[in-house]
Amino acid sequence: MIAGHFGFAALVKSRERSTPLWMLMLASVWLDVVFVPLFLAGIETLQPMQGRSGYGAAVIHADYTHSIVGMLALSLLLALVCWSRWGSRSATVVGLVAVSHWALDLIVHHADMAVLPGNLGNLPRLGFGLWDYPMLAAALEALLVLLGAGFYRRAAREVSIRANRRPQWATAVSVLIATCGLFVLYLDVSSR
Amino acid sequence: MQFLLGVFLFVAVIGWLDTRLPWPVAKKEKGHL
Repeated sequence: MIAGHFGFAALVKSRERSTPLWMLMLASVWLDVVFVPLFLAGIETLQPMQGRSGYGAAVIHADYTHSIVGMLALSLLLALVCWSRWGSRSATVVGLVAVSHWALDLIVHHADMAVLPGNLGNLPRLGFGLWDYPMLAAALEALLVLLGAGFYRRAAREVSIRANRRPQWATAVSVLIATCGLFVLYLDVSSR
Repeated sequence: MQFLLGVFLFVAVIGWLDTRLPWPVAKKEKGHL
């Protein structure tokens, strides 16, 4: 899941208006941002599933970034960085958005998400496996993108009108959120 | 690839465009730890 996380961040922005959108967007994929260098270093891996290819057809061994304990530590770290700049409320929101990444991944991932870093203790791995139904998973992502763009548009127009500014800019940004979200989702779904 | 494109589009491009809107600004509270 990529686009769905960004859609969720836009949804949060419509409620938590003083937290910068770019920070919410970054928080929504923070675990994956940290995953990239670990993946390149071979510490975390993607294992293609036999007989399948494309969208969601991989077992992801992100045993540090996407373990429950690792996720909590990374979310706390990001929240602490934000606290020094935007205060406790925004820091809490950013931390929770980072946690939401794990919660949304839990829905779609195959049972590959560890509890403890490095899968210490070989505890049962978690994941509800919505990726076994790719169209349903894609529909969930599209819904998050469209809901996020819609709620963002309403909030952004409201603050623009209140500040005596033309609301067209707000509409343009929300259309961009929807368009880019669906485009990234299309690339994800059509990947091989 | 989709991930890096997504990060660029949403964090850099849309994030920057959003800063042009008159949102209230969060600031660190004073007088607290």
